[in-house]
Amino acid sequence: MALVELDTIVKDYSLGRTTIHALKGVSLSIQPGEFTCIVGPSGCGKTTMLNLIGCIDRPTSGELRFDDVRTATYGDDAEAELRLAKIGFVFQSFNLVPVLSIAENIEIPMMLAHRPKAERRARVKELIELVGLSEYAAHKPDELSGGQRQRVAIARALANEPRLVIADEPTANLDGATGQSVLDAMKSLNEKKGVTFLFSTHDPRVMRYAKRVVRLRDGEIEGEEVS
Amino acid sequence: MLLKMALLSALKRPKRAVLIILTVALSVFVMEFVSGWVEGMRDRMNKKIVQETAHILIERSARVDALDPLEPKNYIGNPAAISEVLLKDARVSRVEEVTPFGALVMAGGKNLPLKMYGVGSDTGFFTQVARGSLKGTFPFKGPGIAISQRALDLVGASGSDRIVVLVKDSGGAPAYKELPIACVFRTDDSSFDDSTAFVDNATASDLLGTSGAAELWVRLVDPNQAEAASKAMLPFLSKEGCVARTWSSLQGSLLVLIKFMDMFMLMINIIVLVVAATVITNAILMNVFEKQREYGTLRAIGMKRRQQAFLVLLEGAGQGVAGALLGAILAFPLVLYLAIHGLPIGEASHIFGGGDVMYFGTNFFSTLRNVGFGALIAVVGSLYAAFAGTRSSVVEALRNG
Repeated sequence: MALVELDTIVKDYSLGRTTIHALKGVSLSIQPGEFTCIVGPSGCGKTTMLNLIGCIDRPTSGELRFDDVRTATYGDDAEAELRLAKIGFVFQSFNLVPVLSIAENIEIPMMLAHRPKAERRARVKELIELVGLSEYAAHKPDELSGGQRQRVAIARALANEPRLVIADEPTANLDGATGQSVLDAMKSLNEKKGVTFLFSTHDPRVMRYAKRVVRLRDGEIEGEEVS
Repeated sequence: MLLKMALLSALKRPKRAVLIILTVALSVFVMEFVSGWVEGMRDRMNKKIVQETAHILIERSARVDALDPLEPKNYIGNPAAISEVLLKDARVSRVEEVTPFGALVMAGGKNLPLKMYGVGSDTGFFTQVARGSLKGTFPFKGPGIAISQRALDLVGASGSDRIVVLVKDSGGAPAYKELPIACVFRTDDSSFDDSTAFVDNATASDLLGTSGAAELWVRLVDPNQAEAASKAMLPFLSKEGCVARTWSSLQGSLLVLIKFMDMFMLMINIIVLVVAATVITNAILMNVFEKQREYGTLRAIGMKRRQQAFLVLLEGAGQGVAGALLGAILAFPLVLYLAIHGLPIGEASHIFGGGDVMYFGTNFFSTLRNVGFGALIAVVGSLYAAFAGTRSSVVEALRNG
């Protein structure tokens, strides 16, 4: 059974009198354990697609199923619960809460899921070690480098053991070496823990990491490659 | 962690946090000042009520509408026996025999009309006078007069002189007595000082040619029990040919003024609420819009709209509590100073039921209420910001941040 199923998804945006057709009837299936990359030039609809799969936006038409359940049936709270329990997000510009420490940033999703404090603390320790930032637990995000912040974002995305981690251009704000280390971390988590990763990029070097590459152009899937 | 997030987020924008805290602090300061004023007036009025009428005033039924209140038949002939019965009621703390009458006091070549009170040696009258000083003894035993320093100055007498008290007795004939000055007092109310003096009950009876007391002043443990206590007394009192009137029926106009003051306080609070809440709404709204991406991120990772709204309210409430405490702390020394030294506002003080100066009152519960109200202002001010901040979708919040 597919983890995510997109069936003829259309997404239009209205900008005054103009309508932007961001996605034009996209169909895609993502299986558990995949390490999939969506590639394409800027404005091709990568972020829109990730937003729809991550249930932070709704399609204009078409059907999206997550774990075989139609997301259109979800209300606002149910969507939030789905995101909390099953989806992790990694943003291009990290989006960490600046006033909280690294450990607290990682703890937020678990706190929202009402997990017991002792369990939260143990999991934070485990995740910080996993992304190699043990000595920075008490630091604030602005005391870390870009690569380190993105590792924190990955740890936060993994906090509630999600079925899918969505990363929108996770290396776009990082230099080559740092971006590579972040991708190494993601790949390692995919291979060792079986976490499903779906990320977007327009950087050809990043695409090499993916097992499956979906090419998007002008809101349509142009083709895909599986290595 | 939400609390920490809310408070630290507020501190991240120190200028705005200071603006909110100062707005709430100023509001609470104003409320503390006004409520200190109102508490002072209420306290003064409560004392005045006891000073002028007691909690329950008992007199002969015939005296209530009598043309000549000095007629012997209008006096309570057996005040001690009635007092003994009344004191059996646990609500009653004391019963005092009082005989008010008009007199002309003379010393040397000058005279002064005064309202005199014949009081018992166990009188609590002077203790009810809000603030004042006393030379000599009061209550006093044996013949003597307690008179104010102002009255003495007006008749040109000194404390060592003797005073002649001239009255019209119960038979309509003039009667006088020369009395030593037993006590010289000064209260915070010059009009009270200019018009009031005291003698002992025996001297009053002797001067007026009456026996017993004109009135019994009942003081209660709890003044709010006056209606119930007076109802319970009525069957016994009617047998004695007496009636009882409560302080609320005797001092209706003062009660109206107290209600007016409460309304005034409420109006001030509402005005403060509207002004402060507007400032706070704008400041928190700016915070919320600046933090759209942060809120969008939190929503993306599973925070619900209402949790986000709670976070905004928590931020507002945190600053509100800080501001309210600051306002109360800043206002406390001022209110305390004015409670001790008073605020000289001239004749207006008398209009508001005060003495020559307006003394403020302090009340812990009123301060607690003002601090709570200050925090509430911040929460109310944050409500719209919380609503507006959660209106956008996750994607919009992430995009606009």
